[in-house]
Amino acid sequence: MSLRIFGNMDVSASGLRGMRAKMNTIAENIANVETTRTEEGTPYRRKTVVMQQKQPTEPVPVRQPGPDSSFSQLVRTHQAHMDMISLEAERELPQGSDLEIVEAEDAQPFKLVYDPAHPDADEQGYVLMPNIDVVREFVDLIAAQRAYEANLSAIQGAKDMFLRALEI
Amino acid sequence: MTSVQGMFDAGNLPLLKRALDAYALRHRVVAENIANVATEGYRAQKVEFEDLLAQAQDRTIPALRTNPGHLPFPEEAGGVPEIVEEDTGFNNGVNDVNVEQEQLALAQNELMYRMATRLLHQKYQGLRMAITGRTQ
Repeated sequence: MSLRIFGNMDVSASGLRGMRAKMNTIAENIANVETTRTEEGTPYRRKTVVMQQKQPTEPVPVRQPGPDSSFSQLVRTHQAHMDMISLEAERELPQGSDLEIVEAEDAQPFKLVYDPAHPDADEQGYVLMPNIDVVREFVDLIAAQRAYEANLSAIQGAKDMFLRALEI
Repeated sequence: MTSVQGMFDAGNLPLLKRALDAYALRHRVVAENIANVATEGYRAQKVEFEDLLAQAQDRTIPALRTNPGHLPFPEEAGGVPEIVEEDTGFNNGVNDVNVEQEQLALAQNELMYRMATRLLHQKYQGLRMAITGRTQ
């Protein structure tokens, strides 16, 4: 079993990263709830974060002979001696699934709000407002926060397990 | 088993060592479930270990191995943890990860790990006592 020692924590750390990206995006959405002008000339479009699972990468043997490999060649006087290349080959690239965080834009139509005093209002007095529902953003924020905490407690657990293993 | 190495493989010591590995693996799988709570298309996974171990232990037919090249009987190779799909039947809106259940699994697994480390510790302490003749 090739469990990397802190592999458990890496998994949870990727979860933390994903949830933090989600919370950042939500904060951005809430901050831009009334932004009617962007570089594209449209109101601000709601952003979302989608998490994808990266396919676990096959362990790839890392082999770097390099120009001076002849210099570092080991002299093997006994067949049980380890040879240099096999030592190198055992160093694997990080395994395990990692989260891929993809930002996307919400294609839902902008909200039409009647506000004749607004500088961006059309002749009828309507303003195009970002397609953001603050209540929904807050609900998402709470969910992301809780998921973040769940990942934290998983890290805490991993830490505790390592400490216990040291007590054997 | 008369060799010195046999002392460290006696009784349920190998079992405890294997259990530690399995609990570490389970922690990782549960952590992966929690990390993927918002990943679309993800299926919750779990580690099956206890049942396989029990099955392996039920088979108590001793195999007479007259040659080290003989394959060992299943009970010696059994109890290898397996990662399978959890089939929670739960829907959190994105996938089938039930965070509450995963937290519970995490807590249980941690306690089991603690128990295994403590048992191992006691076993090794007993061995140390036998070797040194001292109780401390």
